[in-house]
Parts: sequence; C-alpha cells; structure tokens
Amino acid sequence: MRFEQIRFRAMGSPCALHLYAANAETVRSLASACRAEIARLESKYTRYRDDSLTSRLNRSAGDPRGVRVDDETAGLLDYAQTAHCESGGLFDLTSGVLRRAWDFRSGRLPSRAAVDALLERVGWQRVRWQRPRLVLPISGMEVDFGGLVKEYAADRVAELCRRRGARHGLVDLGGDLAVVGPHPDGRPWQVGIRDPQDGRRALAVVSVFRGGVATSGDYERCMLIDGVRYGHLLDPRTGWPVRGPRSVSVLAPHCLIAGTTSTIAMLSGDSGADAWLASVGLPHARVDRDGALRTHWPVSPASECPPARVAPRASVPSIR
Amino acid sequence: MSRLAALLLLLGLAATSLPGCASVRPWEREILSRRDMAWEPDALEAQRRNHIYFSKEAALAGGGGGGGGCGCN
Amino acid sequence: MSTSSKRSRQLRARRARLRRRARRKAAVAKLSPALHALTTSALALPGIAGSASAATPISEYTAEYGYSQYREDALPSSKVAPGQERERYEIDIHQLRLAAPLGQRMDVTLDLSHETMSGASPWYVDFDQQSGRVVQVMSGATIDDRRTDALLQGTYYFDRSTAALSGGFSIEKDYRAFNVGIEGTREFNEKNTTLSGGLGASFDQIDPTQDPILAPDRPGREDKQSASIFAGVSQVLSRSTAIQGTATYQHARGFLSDPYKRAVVAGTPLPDRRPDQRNQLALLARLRSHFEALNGTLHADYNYYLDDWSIEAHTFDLAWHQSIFDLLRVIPSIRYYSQSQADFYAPFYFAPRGDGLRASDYRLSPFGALSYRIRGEARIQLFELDLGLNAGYERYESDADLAFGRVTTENPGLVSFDLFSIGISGRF
Repeated sequence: MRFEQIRFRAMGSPCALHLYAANAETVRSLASACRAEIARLESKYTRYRDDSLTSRLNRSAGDPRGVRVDDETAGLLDYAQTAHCESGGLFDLTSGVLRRAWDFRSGRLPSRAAVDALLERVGWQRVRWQRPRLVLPISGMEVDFGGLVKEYAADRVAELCRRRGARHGLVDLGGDLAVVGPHPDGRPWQVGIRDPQDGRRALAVVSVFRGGVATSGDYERCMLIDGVRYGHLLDPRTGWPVRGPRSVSVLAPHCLIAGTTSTIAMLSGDSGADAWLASVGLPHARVDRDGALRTHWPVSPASECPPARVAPRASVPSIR
Repeated sequence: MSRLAALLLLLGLAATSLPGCASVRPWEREILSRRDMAWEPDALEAQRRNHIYFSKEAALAGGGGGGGGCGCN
Repeated sequence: MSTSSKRSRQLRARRARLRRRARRKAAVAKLSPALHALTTSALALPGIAGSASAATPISEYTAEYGYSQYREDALPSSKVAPGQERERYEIDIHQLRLAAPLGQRMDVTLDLSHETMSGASPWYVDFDQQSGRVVQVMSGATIDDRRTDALLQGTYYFDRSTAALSGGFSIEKDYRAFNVGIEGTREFNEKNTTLSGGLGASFDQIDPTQDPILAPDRPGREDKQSASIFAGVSQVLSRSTAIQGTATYQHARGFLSDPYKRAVVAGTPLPDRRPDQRNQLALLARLRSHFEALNGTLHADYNYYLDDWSIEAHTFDLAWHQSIFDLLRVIPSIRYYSQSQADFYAPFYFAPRGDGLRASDYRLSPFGALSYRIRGEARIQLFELDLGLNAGYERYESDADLAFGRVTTENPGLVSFDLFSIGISGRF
C-alpha cells in the first residue's frame, strides 16, 4: 500500500489528493485521471472563460429560446431547483449578479436603488427550467454554478477513484472533501475545522470514515462600516449581506449535499441556521461570530475498523 | 421440542420484524465498525475454541458456516 | 425528435424510480424531508451515486499465526481403574491464516492448522467391584497423533450482498474428511439488517488402526456423510448495539460410533455402537454492545442445542473487551455449558439394550462445564507493517455437578484442562 499526497491548484483553490494505491504508477495514473476530471468541470462551469457553458448560458439571457443543456448540467439544474425549494429561496443559482453592487475594497455601502435594480434580475423563480431547456428570460440574468461545482467535482473524483479500484483516500478541493475510503487499517481521516481568525489553526478535529465534508464561510471578504460587519454572503431575496455564523461545516453522504446544507445554513442567519441544521439532521460544526465553536458531531475515540472481510464472515463463523 | 426451544424460535422470528426500528445512518457507524464489535473479532481464536469445545462436548456451536468433520468427536 | 422524447421518458422513469426508492428509504429511515429531497436529486446526478458497497473485500494482505497448548488434567486415582495410566492428552495446535484481495470485488482466505496429540485416551467405563466405584479404563497405548486441517474460502462482493464458496479437508493417520460449503449475505435498511444463509456438506472416512490382539472386533474402514443448512439475521439496535440470531441444522448418516471406545455390557467390554443417523439443531443468539464511557464492549452469546439422540445443551458465553489507550485490549470471559445425556448412553449396562446401542463416552454423558478465560491483545505499528500480538489463558472444568439437571452417575472420564495460547498477526 503506497500513500501519496498530490497537491495542485484548481478552481481557484489549493487542492490535494490523498491516495493509497498498490504502487507509485497506479497513484500517478489515478491522480492524472482525477485532475483531468477536475479540469473538465472547471472549464465547463467557470464564469471566467468565454467558451465555458456558463458563459454561453449567460449570453443567452433575454433570448426566449434559451439553451439546450446536456444531462450533467440538467442534473445540476434539477438539484439547484430542489435546493432552492427546500431552502425557501435562499439557495439561488441566479444570485451571482448581486456581487456587482458590493465592492468590498471601496469600503462603501451600495445605494438601495443599485441593489434593487440588480434584484430585478435575480430569482430562480423567474427562470424557466424545463428539462432539457434553460431559459433566462431577462437580459442581464446570470447563472453561477460556483456554489455547486467544487463539491460536485469532489464527489465525482472520489467516485472515479473508487471505480478504478482505489478504496482508501481523500479528495480535498479547497476545503471541500470527499472520502474515497478510510485508511487501510480502518482509521478515519482526521479533518480539522479551521479557525476563521487564524487559517492555520484548527478549532476542532473530527473523524470522517466516509462521505463528504464541506464548509461555508463568511470570513474571507468583508467590510467593516460604523462597527458593523458586512460579509460577502448575500441574501438573494434582499440583496444584502446576511448576519449569521462565521462558518458552518457539514458532513453528508455526498460532498454536494454537505456544501448545499452548509451554504443554506450560512444564508439562514443565526437563528435560521440552528433551525435548518436541526431539521436536516446531519453532523455539523459551526463557528459563531464571537468565535465560539459548536459541534454536533458524533466524535468518538480513535476507534478501529475490523478488516472488511471479517464483516460478512464474522456473521457466519466456522464451526470447525 | 422443549418449550425453551419454541420460545427462542419465536424470539428469532420476532427479531426479523425489527427492521425499521433502528436506523443508524452510514456516518454514525464508527462504533459499530470497531473490531471488538464484530461477531468474531479474532477468527483464529474462535476457530480454535469452537474446535476444542466440539471435541469435548456434544453440542454444535451454531452460527452456521462451513467446515466439516474431523476425527475428534 | 423521437429519440429525444424516448430519452426524456427514460430519464423521467429513472427519476421516478429513484424517487420511489428514496421515499421507501425515507419511510424506513425517518429522513428529514429536506435531506431526502436533496439526496434524491443528488443521486440522479451522473457519476456520484456509486456502488457504495457497505461490505468490501480486504485491501491488504494479512497473515496470522497462533500457537496453543493445552494439557488435560490427570484423572484422580479415585476415577481410574487400579494400575491404569492417569495422564491424559497433551495437545499442541499451530494455526495459520492467510488472506489476500483478489481483484476489486473478491478476496480469498486460507486457514491451515496442525495439531499434535499425545497421551492416553479413555477406552471404556467399568464398575470396580473392590472399591464399589465407577471408574475409567484408559487405553494402554500412548497415542501420538497428528491432524492437519485446511480450508480455502473465496468471497465475492456485490453492492449489498456477498457470496462465498469454501472447501477443505481434515487429515489424520486414520481419518480423512472433505468439506464444501456455500454461503451468502444480504444487507437491508442501509446495512442495519443483514440476512445470511448457507449450505455445507462433509464426507468423512475413518480407517481405524487395527489391534488384532486387544481389539480383534474393531471395525475396519467406515464412511460418514453430513449436510448442514443455516440461516441467520443480524440487526443493529443502536449506534453501539447489535444482535444476531442464527439457526443451524445438520444431518449426519453413516458410521457415527467411536471405533476406539467400548462400553461394558453385562461385564464384557463391547464395541461402541451408536445410531447410524443423527439430526442436530443449534439456535444461537448474540449481543454486542459498546459502552463509550467505559471504553469497553460486552459480548453475550447463548446457544441452544438439541438432537435426536435426546441430547439438549445450553451454552452461555460472556466476555468483556476492555480497551486501554486504544493500543491494548484485555478480555476476561466466562463460559458455562450444560448438556443432558444421549438416550442410549449409560456408564455401563447390566443387559444389552433392545436397539443394540451402547456408548459410555463422556461426550454423550450428562455434565456441565465452566471455563474462565483471560486474553490480552496489543497492536503496534512497525514501519509500514501493522502488527498484532496476543496471549491468552483458559481454565476449563467439567463436572456432573455443574449440569442443569440432576445427574445420578457422573462419567469418570470428564475432562478439565489448562490452555495457553500466543499469536501474532501482520497486515501489509
């Protein structure tokens, strides 16, 4: 069993593949397949390239014919629709344009009129999504897959590793994690919940055997005006920053679900986050604005896993 | 068959109606996957013990599984 | 145009299937509606809903070796015929287990064991006129026997079920047995419930060592066949507790007597003679429960046994697995066993039975047994090797007084022993 960590940059973040494989060659071929898949998704859904699907979709805004999308994009749009519905409108693929009103480097609040003007072009309920055709009826509307693609990519890459025979490993795309499988001896991966104040420090370490972990944070870009902190997470219904926790990390069977859950928690504000996380019932950790850490995570002592073969055989011991 | 056996059989059948009473999610299985939570954490020891008791007592160990006879009983 | 509408029909049907499946799962698992909805949607995305097999083949090579030695207590002189050998068996056991993955969905296990037995074996039970006691007559010969066992098993892992095939043999100087088996498991309710079942068959042949002087009427080569079936269900009760119930039935026919033993009938030792058929049933219930506050796990097993030779037996096994700093484990355990007698058993007979059966083997007599065990396990990491060490001691005592019911005459041949074992295992 050979263990290797492959670090690289993708999707605007530092990424790492922690992989166990039989030999160096297998690890390398696995890593290059993973990076190819990440690059594919990045170039397809980024909004920073003119030839990406996202740009094509955004250019079609105002065109009643819309764009016919492939199965993968259709799946993501269906998922985004579900998330929009379940979150009461907080999770919204079209909310990206609101960032134009908020210039965090200027240190100035935008005018209400500017925000209201942008709100005219925001709202998934305005979008006509009838599989396989997406129509953005209002010119200037935009879809932004940024809130989905990194987590989706983590899940896809982890599944890709599994389909190629890897059974132990971890995919880390800028803090969005998907587990291929626990360590060969059955130990879980130890994941640190980052301190928003000091990125190098971990407030807590949690054990992850399988599934995905995603973190939504509001600590990167913000403005401090008259003692009030304005974060960069904007409520798509009002156009203004939400006042909620500093970060929420969620563990789910898939990184995609973990990401959506944590994003919706952040957008729900302080009390909304509690209610949302309680209703979803997934393990999570949140860092409040005052720096306090609250975890709802079944943290256990470093427990061992039996060798997998013991599981089915052990239920039928031999009586020789 | 004695009443004890009938009672056990009944318990066994009742156990099959248990599905749905507990739903431990996949991410809550750290304790269940501990080595000492396995039915037989140490296969070698279980085999040896079962074989020794089998050669000194009349009973079958139960638990199913293959493996046939030997000259010891 | 027709292909796209067919395609969208297929996709709609697939999504409807997934919704139905997720609804069923949610109904059972009491999922939050929001999580349920998100999960259904996520599963419909290409390439992320994987096989997610709960049980997977091993991914490392494993080798385990164990050595055990036990010495049966010498018989007290009160239980042995005068001038008889009192020492009993001393047995050495070597065990080896090798396991390896085979491709992505299979693994294979090989179990080998070699046993050396030396000492005296019980021959028949007699009534000593002088002392008025029931005594054990030992066979004079000091037996030096070797037994070699092998079992090969291959397991294939599907998404939520497994199938295994096994075959093996057991060979001694005078005994040969071959066995085959097939078994499978199936998971339900996100692996909260597992069903298991299997079939097994064994073909045995005994070629007793002849002794024309002392035992001219000893049987020659004989055969025995047996078939078994089992079914079991295990259920997770909580995050830290699981239970299992199994039922096993075995049918054997052929030569089931012991060619080396005799039973005294009206003063004459005659060859052991048992029925040529036997039907056996074993019902097993087990519990495994972990106590986080104590960092220990409780194992409780109960086995009920019944056969058509009228033997009924109960086994209670209790063990406590105490973890210390996750490096060490100490496991004290206790086992209580009680069996009733075979209907044709007697320490000796005044007159032959109507059915011609006779056996005075202690293994068919009524008795109880208590055993105390202590075991220690340690795991250490050596470079890239995951090493395990273990050592254990067991004291086993059988006595008619320990039996559930009342026993009139204790078979003098009941055995007690001290057992020591050590073992080492490695994963790489």
